[in-house]
Amino acid sequence: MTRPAPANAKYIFTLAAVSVLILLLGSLVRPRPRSADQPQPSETDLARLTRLTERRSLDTRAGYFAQLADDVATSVVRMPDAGASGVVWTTGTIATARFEPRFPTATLVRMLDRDVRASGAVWAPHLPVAGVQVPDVAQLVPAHRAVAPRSGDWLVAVWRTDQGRVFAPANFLDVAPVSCDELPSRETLSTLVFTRSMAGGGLFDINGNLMGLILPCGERYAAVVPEQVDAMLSEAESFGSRLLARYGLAVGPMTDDETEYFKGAAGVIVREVWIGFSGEVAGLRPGDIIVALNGAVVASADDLRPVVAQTEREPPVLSVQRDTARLEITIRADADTTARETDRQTTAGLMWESPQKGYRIDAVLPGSRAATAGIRPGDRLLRIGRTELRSLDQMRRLLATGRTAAFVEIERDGRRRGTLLKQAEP
Amino acid sequence: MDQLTSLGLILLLALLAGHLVRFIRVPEVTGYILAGVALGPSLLGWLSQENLLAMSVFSEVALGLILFSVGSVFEFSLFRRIGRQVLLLTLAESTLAAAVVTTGILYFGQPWQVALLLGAIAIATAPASTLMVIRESDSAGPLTDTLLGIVAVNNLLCITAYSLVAAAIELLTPAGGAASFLETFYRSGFLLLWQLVGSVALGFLVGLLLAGWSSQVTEGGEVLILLAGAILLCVGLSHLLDLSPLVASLAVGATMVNLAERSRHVFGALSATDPPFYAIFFVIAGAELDARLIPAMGALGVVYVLGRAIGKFAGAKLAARRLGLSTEVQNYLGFALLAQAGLAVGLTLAVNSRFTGFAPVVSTVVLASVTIYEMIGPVSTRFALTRAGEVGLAKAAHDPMLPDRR
Repeated sequence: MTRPAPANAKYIFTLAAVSVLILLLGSLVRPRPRSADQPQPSETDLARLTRLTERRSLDTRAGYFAQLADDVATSVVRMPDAGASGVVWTTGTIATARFEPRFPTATLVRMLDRDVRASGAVWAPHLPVAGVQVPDVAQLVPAHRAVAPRSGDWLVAVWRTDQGRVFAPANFLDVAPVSCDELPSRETLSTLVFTRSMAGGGLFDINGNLMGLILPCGERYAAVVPEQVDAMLSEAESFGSRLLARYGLAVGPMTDDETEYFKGAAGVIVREVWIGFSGEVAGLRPGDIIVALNGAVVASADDLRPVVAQTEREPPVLSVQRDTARLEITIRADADTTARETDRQTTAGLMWESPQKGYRIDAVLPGSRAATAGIRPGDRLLRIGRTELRSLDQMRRLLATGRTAAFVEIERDGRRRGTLLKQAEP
Repeated sequence: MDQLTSLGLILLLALLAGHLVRFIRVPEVTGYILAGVALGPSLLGWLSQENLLAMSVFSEVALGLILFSVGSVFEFSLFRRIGRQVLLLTLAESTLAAAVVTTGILYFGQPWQVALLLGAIAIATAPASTLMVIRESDSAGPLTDTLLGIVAVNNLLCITAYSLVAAAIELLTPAGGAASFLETFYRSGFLLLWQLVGSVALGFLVGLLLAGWSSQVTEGGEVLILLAGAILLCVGLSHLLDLSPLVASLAVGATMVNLAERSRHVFGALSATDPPFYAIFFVIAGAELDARLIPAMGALGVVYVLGRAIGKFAGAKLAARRLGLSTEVQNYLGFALLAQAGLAVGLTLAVNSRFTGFAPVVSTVVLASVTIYEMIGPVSTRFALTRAGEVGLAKAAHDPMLPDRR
């Protein structure tokens, strides 16, 4: 074997120096990799890759919202009888949407893991919301958020169908006024358009805070902000709402003009009678003056409170002044209003509407005495004073002079209301 | 699968496969490779692409160690004795293999670029499996010595030929027009020079470091640390500087064997402890083979496989007869040169990035053929050594390729 003799050391050192030089020089002058040396993906490949990436991020996003929806869905229930979803509002209460004039009394609540029968419900025919009492549900979703949302923030709408939980992501736009059944309210505007199937569902932010309850508002559906839903639910607890819900009646104290018109009759005047409710079935009409309840004199609406008390067993008997007559009317809270509906069905299986009564008002001049009385286009004029309208001539005659005040009865959206048409200014 | 789990699995199954194939008188290397094929993505899929990628560092180290060992054939006294015949034999078998493959591919209607690229790649003989078979069978003798020398030189030749062909293609094929003739010439020519001269320079420096330090280190374990460190450094720097880790490792071995007083000690420590590396290396190599490619290679693949074999056989035989070598060498040297693996695959990757137009044909043919050669190569090498009567002659506790062993 060759050994490096001492004489070779110089030789080896030179070689090493040359090697270092070669490496240094070589790495200095070596060509930089040209971009063209790398395989360049074509334009279509790039576009396809971009699309794939974007699609992946969309999938991730959808997955994120699905997870979020799963998280909040524990607070979203299905109410098969009401045909809507519901959100656990407070411990023991579920807020849901109301469609029919009457809210179903015995309501089933389909929760995530079980079905529960509701123990009661708070609702009123003029409110789009209903509060359903279920003893053993606990509130999970915070109903109010600490930080005001900004435009563009992500939201997710979650509702429940018979098939299961459904969700839709959206962006927050604004909070805007909305009117639900003449009731001024506020809604959370988002990029979503709500439909019937979403009613009763919740609109949540990405922290799981409730931003709105999806309720029917006029012709459309709106995510009403939680504070307004709270207000509606407490409104539903009021005496007026309970009277409406139970008997379809709205009453009020008489104005001075009315006292004069009705020639000094004292009592509480019936302002609205909702068609299909027990008040209407019993024969009450707008303009009736309730003077006594079960024989006791009624001076103000407060005197009527016993009729909405839960403990009321006997059907109340109202003494009513109508024109000159004094009537005794018994109203049964549980009067079967559906019977009247089925009357309209014959054995031939035909269903029809009863003929329209009264005259439809096409326009109301602003500032006129009709406008002052609250009459609106679309209302149907049924009665003027004592006279049921039968012909156009009759109506012209009755309204022609305007010298005297007239109590008129109109029908609007399934309710009859009475209003005093004041006498024309001379 | 988790990296450590798959590593353990690799080692144990490689050992098992090595034992199993011994019964049918097949080299253990083939057993390792077959185990790799079975575990790999193309069959069982226990080793995923990610596993293979993560363990590629083992392959790099193992290949570096193997070429370091092969480099020891450049020991002065040995090479002075057999250098001339090794050079002639290598030139003959390489040229003939390249020529036959190129002609065949041209005959089958492929562009000249594809034919030349395949011809250049056909030169390479896998150093790893050849060395392993020699070790495993304790071979020694004229065929063994010549074989190691040829494998070392023919890989250098392959890199040179490939670089020349690549330069020619870039100069003669009208490219996008962006690059001038001079620039192309500079790029291609420099690459060739750099890969050879630069790699040798790097290998020499690392070898010098190794040789100088090894005289201070006596303990077997420490020698191994020194060696592993030097090889890792060499391979890493090669990657960093775009050099050829293959040539550089070869140069480290050559420098070491000529300069270190205790080189035998170092090589001995290496062969005592490196088998796990090699087992992993061959299993990974097997797992990266895709047996499903074989049916896809078509007529071109058959031409490549047969043409390369014929070229190697004929070249080795003619040159050996001319040199007046023994009939054993004349008859069996060709068999020992069939194995083909890493370098061919590496060049295919280079073709993929440099000549996208020709890459599909070249890749398919080479990758499919490598699958075949990788499996039959070790068997054929073993056959040659057995027939030449050199198996078991190095029993005397010497590593087969150690210098001054006789």
